[in-house]
Amino acid sequence: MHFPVFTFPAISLRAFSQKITTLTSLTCSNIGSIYSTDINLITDCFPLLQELDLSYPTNFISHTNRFLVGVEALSLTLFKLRKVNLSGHYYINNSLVYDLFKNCKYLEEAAMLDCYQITNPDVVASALRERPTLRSLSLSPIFCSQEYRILNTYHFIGSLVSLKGLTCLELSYSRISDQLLSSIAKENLPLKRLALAYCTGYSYYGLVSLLSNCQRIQHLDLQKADF
Amino acid sequence: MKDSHVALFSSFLGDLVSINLSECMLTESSLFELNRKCPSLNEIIMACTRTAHGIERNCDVSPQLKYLRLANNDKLQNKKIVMFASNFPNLELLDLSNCFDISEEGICHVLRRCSKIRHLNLSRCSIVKLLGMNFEAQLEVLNLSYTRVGDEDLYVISKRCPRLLQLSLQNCENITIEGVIHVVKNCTQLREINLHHCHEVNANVVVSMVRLRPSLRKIAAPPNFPLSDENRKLFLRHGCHLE
Repeated sequence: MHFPVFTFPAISLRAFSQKITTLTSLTCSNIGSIYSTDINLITDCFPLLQELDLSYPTNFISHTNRFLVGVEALSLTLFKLRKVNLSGHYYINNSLVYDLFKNCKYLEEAAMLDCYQITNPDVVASALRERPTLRSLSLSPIFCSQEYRILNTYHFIGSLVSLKGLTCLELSYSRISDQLLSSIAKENLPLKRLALAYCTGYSYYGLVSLLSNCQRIQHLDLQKADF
Repeated sequence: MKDSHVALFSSFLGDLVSINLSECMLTESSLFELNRKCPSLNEIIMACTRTAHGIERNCDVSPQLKYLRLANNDKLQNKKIVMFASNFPNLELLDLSNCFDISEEGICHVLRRCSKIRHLNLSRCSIVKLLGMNFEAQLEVLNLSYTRVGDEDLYVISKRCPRLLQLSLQNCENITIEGVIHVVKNCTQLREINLHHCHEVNANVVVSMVRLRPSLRKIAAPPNFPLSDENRKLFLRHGCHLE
């Protein structure tokens, strides 16, 4: 089911769920406004969802804490979730990423672009270790605090390359390193899509190391490659 | 990144389908190198690059390329896009927004050569006109925002682009109600039209638009049209969203 709507259609979705409880895919991207109760509604009404896209709402009406509690509850209830897109959900923080990856046992594709409170590569690393079956990861930017600065901590790189089935990786706007790229190359991850737009910290040598080893890439985004 | 880098790594990209190299210091030489080495490549995004530069002598035809996005290449000249048209005859999408030197001569040549183009973005190509379009085009999506096109251009478009679905005329100061009516009457499949900031278009035209063209699903209204709840509801009854 796909909604090109302007506000979350809460009343009609609740009515819909009373007749059809078996919905497996719900897309509500770019909606005008979202309440934490909308997330609760999805959790209550569609427990069998496998795909959920709530990316880029324009306005978040409820308090941050209510959204955090709502998404955590969602991660515990929608046990069949395989694909989730929460890009633009500003409140998502390090520990919520961890909860999502830990709780959603079947998660294969996760997109959380433009979530600026994801700041700790070590917590993200632990999250990735929880879900080794992940096939698609879009997290950007991982807006590192001063302490970490760049995404080349041993822990983060090790966790990333442990995702042996990773076919899609988006780390745009992050500060990465040649070490990260050559580690991906060394593990020969089956990447088909790689997005490094506006990334800094890497050079041509890191890129060539990756591309020469991962030769199945179909989609490549190197916007503003700065070398 | 330099052209020499692209020349080297493109040989590892035999499966490549799409690539974005926008805002890199690359010339047309990278464009052709990628097409030579990547047989499945159907989309190239090289916005804000130096595509206007470089002298390519031995260019092959690349029938696989369908989507070419060259926005913000402000030095791009007609002769260059004419050459691209010969090399990429199966283009379906061409984005030349903010390529200020492109004019009618170049565009008409490209549309004639690449007869499969369905999506054309000429936003802010300020000197572009389409009066000389004396052939039918397959255009479905056409963006002419921030250009100096006038009612006569719209008349030609309405006659030569019968498949048009979306037309953006935002901030076109030379168009009036007359040109808009030509499009609405003749483009029988039109679904969306953007008239935001078209100060010379009389707001009264909006009401008659949905009646003249029931296929319209979205109208971005010109200034002075009252976007009241009542009006929105009225238009929604015709299945048309108003903004």
